[in-house]
Amino acid sequence: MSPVSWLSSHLGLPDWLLRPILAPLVYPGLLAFMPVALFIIWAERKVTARVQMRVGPLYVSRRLGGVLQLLADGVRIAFQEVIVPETAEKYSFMLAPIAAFSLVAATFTVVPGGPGVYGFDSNISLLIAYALISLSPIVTVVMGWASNNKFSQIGAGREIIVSIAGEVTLLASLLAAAMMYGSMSFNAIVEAQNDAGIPGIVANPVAALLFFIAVLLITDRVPFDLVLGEQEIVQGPYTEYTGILFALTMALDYAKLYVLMLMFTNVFLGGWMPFNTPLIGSLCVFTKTLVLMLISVFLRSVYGRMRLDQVAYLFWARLLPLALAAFSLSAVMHFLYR
Amino acid sequence: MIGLTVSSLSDAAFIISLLALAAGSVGVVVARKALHMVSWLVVASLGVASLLALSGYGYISVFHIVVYIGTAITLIAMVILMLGCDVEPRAWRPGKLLLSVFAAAVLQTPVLLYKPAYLKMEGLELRKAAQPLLQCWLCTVLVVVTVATVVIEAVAIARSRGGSERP
Repeated sequence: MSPVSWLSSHLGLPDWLLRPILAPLVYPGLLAFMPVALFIIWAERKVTARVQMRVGPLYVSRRLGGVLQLLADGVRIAFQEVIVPETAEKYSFMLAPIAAFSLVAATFTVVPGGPGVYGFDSNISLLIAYALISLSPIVTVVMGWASNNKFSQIGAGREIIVSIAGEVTLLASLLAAAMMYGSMSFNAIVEAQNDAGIPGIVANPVAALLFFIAVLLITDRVPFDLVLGEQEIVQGPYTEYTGILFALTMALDYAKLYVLMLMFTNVFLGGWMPFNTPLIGSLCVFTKTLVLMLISVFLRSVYGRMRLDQVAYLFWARLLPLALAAFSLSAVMHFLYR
Repeated sequence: MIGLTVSSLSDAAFIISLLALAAGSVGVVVARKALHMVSWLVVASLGVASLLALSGYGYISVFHIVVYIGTAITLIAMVILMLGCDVEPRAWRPGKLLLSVFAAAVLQTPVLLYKPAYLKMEGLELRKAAQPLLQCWLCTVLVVVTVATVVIEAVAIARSRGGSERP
């Protein structure tokens, strides 16, 4: 008996109703996301420090290399006073981070975290996940506007330019992959890779590369961290946020990174391949996602920031035509997944 | 086992989507700041998207979100940010609110009456989708009147803004 069926029989709720509640809240949702976020932020700071010949976080839990530093920071931020600037739009300012984070959390409903571990399965779940991700930039714009701060407004403007450029490439790479597998359901895509024994990254490396680069842009990772741009515009749209709202805005980008890397694992790395049991399969998906996130945060130590015009040129003039190549490759490789 | 069924939930979802659509439509008209209008437009569009999904057009619903909210409304928001045109209207006009409620009611009545959610049509045929609206002659007349009023209102607003009022 699976844990979901056991819980549904005890709670008296039907299985189809319990799944979409558990998936965003427990696994692959928020309960799994919290330790991932703490670990990834710690790893990001530690690795960057090592590359720059510093020690990084150390004082909290010195023996463990300062891994609990982020937990301490989190507790401090949770109890900090939320300051709303006098000139800010109070309700938009306070509601926008909550709305943005909820939208990203809703994405966990459709992205499977293991064999049979999903909120609900649809034949267009790939597109649903993408649509939910594409909703968050507009809330970020509301954050920037509501803060009534020049840095925030510049950051919000950048967010729009950057997100549209990134989302076009992301959608193109996802559609190229869907064309290759002949399906837009995550479960069917993973099963197709399992049956063929070939992960999508081998069959169509171009689409995988495009997806990875677009994820870096959408989640404000270096070299495309224009929206936050710490040295230029403080924290972009999140400049005025404090306390728990600041924690939410920080978690927003990491949640996006987590869910998009989960999508990458399912679409290009074969999901729970080569395991088929729920527990081991979920662990496999989780590990692959974590490794991908570590790679993306490691880039902070080795790249500088690109300018806005360079990013726009790269995405519209270089990567979008490359997406056409990904489509052609998918048309050729389609026979592998029949 | 509590008495939850798929049909009762989809009924609730249908009503919530209609409410979101109505609230969004009214909000767009009565909001006093440009970015609030954009936010209400997002709510209205999400209502439309979920109505489409409940009517069996899942694919179109998702593309509605991606194209209209993810791109079009985001670009409108960008223009508003760049122009900084968050000017509050000078006078409170209840006529606008009445008009928007009227328009929303007219557009939603046929949907409520005929419930295309359970028709499960294959593919989107505009003729089929508009059929419930055209079957009721009163609804058709009201839609025509509403559209005409909105156009006249839009022209009036555009004329008053374009002339001597601007510095």
